[in-house]
Order: sequence, then structure tokens, then C-alpha cells
Amino acid sequence: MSPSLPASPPGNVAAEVLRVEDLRVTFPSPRGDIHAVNGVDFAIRGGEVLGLIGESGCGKSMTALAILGLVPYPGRVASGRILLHGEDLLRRSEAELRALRGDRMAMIFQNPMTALNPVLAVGPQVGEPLVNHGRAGWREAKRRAVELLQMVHIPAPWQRAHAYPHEMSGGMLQRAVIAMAVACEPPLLIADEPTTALDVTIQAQILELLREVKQSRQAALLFITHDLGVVAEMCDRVAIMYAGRIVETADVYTIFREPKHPYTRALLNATPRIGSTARLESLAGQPPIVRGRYQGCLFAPRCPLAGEDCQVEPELVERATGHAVRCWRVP
Amino acid sequence: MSAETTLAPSSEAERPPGLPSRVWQALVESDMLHHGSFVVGAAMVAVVLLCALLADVIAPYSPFDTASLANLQPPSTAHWLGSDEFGRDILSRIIYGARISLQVAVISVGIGMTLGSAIGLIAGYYGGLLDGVLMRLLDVLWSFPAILLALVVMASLGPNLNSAMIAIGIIFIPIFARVARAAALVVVKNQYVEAARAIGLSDAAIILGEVLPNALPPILVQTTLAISYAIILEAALSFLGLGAQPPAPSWGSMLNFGRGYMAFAPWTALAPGLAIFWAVLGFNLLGDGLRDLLDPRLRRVL
Repeated sequence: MSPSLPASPPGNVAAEVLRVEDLRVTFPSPRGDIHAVNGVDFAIRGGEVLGLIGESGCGKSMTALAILGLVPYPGRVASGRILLHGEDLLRRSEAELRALRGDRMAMIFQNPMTALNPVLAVGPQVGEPLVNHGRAGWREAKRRAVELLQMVHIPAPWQRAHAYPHEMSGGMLQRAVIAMAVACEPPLLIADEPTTALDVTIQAQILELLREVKQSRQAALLFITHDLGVVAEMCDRVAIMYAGRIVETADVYTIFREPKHPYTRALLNATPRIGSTARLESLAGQPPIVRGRYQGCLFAPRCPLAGEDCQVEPELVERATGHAVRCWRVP
Repeated sequence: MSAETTLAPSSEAERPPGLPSRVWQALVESDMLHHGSFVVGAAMVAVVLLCALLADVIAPYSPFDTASLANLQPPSTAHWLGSDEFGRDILSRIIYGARISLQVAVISVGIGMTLGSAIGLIAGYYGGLLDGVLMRLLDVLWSFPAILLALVVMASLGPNLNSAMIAIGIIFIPIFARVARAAALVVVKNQYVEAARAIGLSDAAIILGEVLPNALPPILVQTTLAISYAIILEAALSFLGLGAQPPAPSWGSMLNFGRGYMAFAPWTALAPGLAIFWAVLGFNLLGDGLRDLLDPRLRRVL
């Protein structure tokens, strides 16, 4: 176990579902490998929600795909361990991973309008994981699909099961997608910006539903988003990612009350708050593409605190219980 | 919403139709009866289909019976299209000929569609090197003139109807492969394909369950167009004496034999020529109509 991992809160008896250690995903390029995910560590327990936060292109989604074993060609997982209930997924064959996907771990996608096949009715798609993993025949899956649709609070589930995706609204579809993800009761759920494509009132409903399914099954939820408002509402712990690395991790209260890393602060300062008249601060520039060999703090070029010592990359160091920061220049 | 909830478990009867009936539904909703070429094409194809299915009932004479009439008689009330060089009733032979034409067309297009779509879907789904190799191989096949390719195949398999079907089927493989690949390339970019992988479906299951249903409309349109082309090819091969062998009533071979009597018995060549024209035009109009009706709308309706 790497020393930089924050200790889990005492008294939490739920078992650890997922542990990711030093995960690296690279894409070959003529000028050296691109490090999309560059040494990420985290762990999630049953019933816990870990928020993975960061700008677009900082490696959040790639981390999720790596966990599922779906890194798109020509990318590959260069090193690390992904332990699901203690078993390293990176040592599994493609066939073994296929048996786990949808059964022991499931993904909820960003855009519900495109996550379901437009030419197939919703019901069979929701029941498909059950059939695929041999948990039910088609007839039984059909019945269970209706139950699942009912569980995610879709009105008239029987009719909806026969409806096609274009006949349903975005919020309804996202409910169906969630129903599909939890069909086999996987202990690990990964939600990749599940509310980004929805309007705010529907967002709140979907978050409530996610909390509900997570709670009822004591599933671990890896919640990927760039929306800090959603984070505050949803997550137990938060890991802030920048350029393929985790730069700060803490429980959700600490992140909002005592953000330490300058990137975390910049993110918070760029978030509008009701009642505040202060100008929003924007962070100039974009996250770098990390290619080949590099040295120094990756955030330094955009960092207001950057100095001489940032020529050497800092480690993720625990500053308080459960609060680790990757920065030289904050106390 | 609340009113809907009370409807809850409804009867099986309200079940919306499956995919084939949805294509049908799309056609119905797109007022196909107002689409000129579709209606005319469908009617012309229906005539050919009826001839093929009911030849035994509607043909006035046997297509092989040489005793009923003197040879090379002009059209009359008893023999509407006259008789050929052996005194066989041409109308009956034309009607029975629809059988051979359709049989060859359907089977050869079936071969081409199955193999071509399979290759195209695989190439489009996997992409990369496999795609490049498969499609370049098909480009080689595609670059041969159709008749030449058919001649090569027939030369190695022998001149009969079965090898004509195989030869024509092979000609269609690259056509269907291209259509299926183009559709697959679009489909694989969709998130539901990634979602299918994320629930642990195998590549084969994704190709059959997710990609194929979405690629079906263009393949369907190509099928009708390919049938008309297959009718021409069958006629051409039979004309060259490579397809249906005498005395089988094939339009192509009738045209070939009738050619010799053009000067004094033009009906012997004219009748099969018009039959080919009728069938090909019918399937082309139907295909054009289908393309108009399915292509722009399916994306919305399905």
C-alpha cells in the first residue's frame, strides 16, 4: 500500500470494493508516450461515493475506462494495479473481464440519449446484462427489467419497457441507463458525468436516485464530474485530478472548507455561489498534454504560487488525516 | 403521468412491433402510397412475383410443350405472344421464366448480402488493419467487370444455374460490404456500443445485436437494387449460354434464341426483352422509392 493513500475513516466497517494503485495509461505518439493517466491511487468502500474531479482532458474518464478494461486502442494500461475485491483486474484475460463487466462493475454514461440503442426497445436493453451474465433467461429478464424500471421510479414501467429510446425524455432514459447498470447488482458503479447532459431539476432527481441505488445495495460509487455543486451534494470523499495525476484528496467537507492545492482553490473560485457578489476568477490556459519525459510540477505553468522548488515534482503527501496534497508551496 | 401509472400492467397486445415491423411502420408513416416510384415499382414487382409464384395456375400452356402449335407463329388470341422456334407458347415461357429470374436473383443476392454484410460489418466494427486488408481485397474483386468475373467463376464451376447464382453472389459481395461497412463506421462511434461493451457483451454479440439492426435500412435498400441487377446478370449469363440451360425457360436464353429470328419473328426476342425490362425497372423503382422513404426518415422514426 502506498504511503500517500489517505487512511479510511475509522469506524467504517464496509469492505473495500475497489483499490487503484499507481495506475498509468499511455497512448503512443511519435514524440513520446502521452500519459493520459499518470500514477493514480485511490480506494472506495462499499456504500461510499468517491468524486473524481477535474477539467476536461485530465484523465478522469480514462481512469474509469481503465478500471473496466476498455481503454481504447492504441492506448494501454502501462502499469499499476486495479483491485476489485482484492483481485487484480489487470491480470485478467479479456474473457474474464467481459464476465465481470456489467456483472461486478457497471458504468453509467454521460449522455443518456445516446447510451441506449435507438432501434431496440428499452426493456430488453435494461434486462440484457442479466441474460448476458447468465442470471436470467429472456423471459425472466423481461420481467426483471420491468421491476428494475419500477425501482428507478419510471412511471408505467410495463409500457416503458416496450418503448423505444426516442419515445422517452432524457431524464427517463438516464433512469433506464441506471436500471441497466444495477441490473446485476454490481458492487462497483462508475458514473461518468451522469448529469451533465440533463437540466438542473432532472439532475437533482437523478442524483437522488443514484444515492438511493448505491445505498440500497451498499455499492461503491466512483463519481466522475467537473460540477462542484454536484460534488458537494453527492460525494463522501473527493479526489482532484490534474493532467493525469491526483493533486489533492480529502473528504468532501475538507475540500470545500480548507482546499490546499492551488488548483483546487482555482476550481472553487471559478464556481459561482448564490449570494456572493465576488467576481469569479478564471484560470488561464489549459491542462498540459503530458508527453514523454517531464519534470517538475505539472500545474506550475498555471500556478499563482509557482516558484523555484516547483522544478521538482512534489509527492502526494498526507497533511492531515485523510487529506493529502501534491504541492510544495502550501502548508 | 399519474393517469399513465394507473394503466400499469397492460396487456401483451399493446406491445410495439419488433424491428421488421418497425421498418414497415416507418414506411406506413411516411405515406408511401403517395410516393409515385415506390407505388409503380411495387406494382410491377408484384406482377413478377405473382407470375413466379402462380406460374402453374396462370400460364395457359406448359413452357416445354412443343406440340400445341406450329413454330414461330405470330401473336394471336390463343397464343398472346405467339410461339417460338419449337412451337412453345412464349407467354407461358415468359411466366415460368419469372421463376428462374427471381430464384437466381434472390439466392445470389442472398449470398452476396450475407457474406458482404458480414465482411463489411466486421471491417467497420474493428477498423484498423483488418478493415484495410478486407476492403482492399474486396476492391480487387470490385475492380473486375461483373460479367468478366462471372465468366471466370462459371468457367471453373461449369455452366449451370447453380454456378450462375454463386457467380452473381460473389459479384455482390463488395457492394454489400461497402454499404454495411459505411453504416457500421457510423454506428460504432455511438455511445451505446461502448455501453454494450461496458455490460460485458462480446464483439460478436455487439455486431449482431447493436450494429446490424442499425445498419439494416441501407442494406435493405441495396438489396432491392441488387435484385434488379441480378436479373440483368442472370439474363446476360443465360444469353451467353452459361446460365440456365435449354429447355429451361430463362428470359436470357429466350432472348438469345429469339435473336436469330428477329427479322421475321420479332416477338420471339421482343417478349423476353420486355420481360427483363419490366422486372428490372420494377425493382429499380421500388429500390429508389425505398431509399427515399427509409433513408431520411428512419433516422428519425427508429
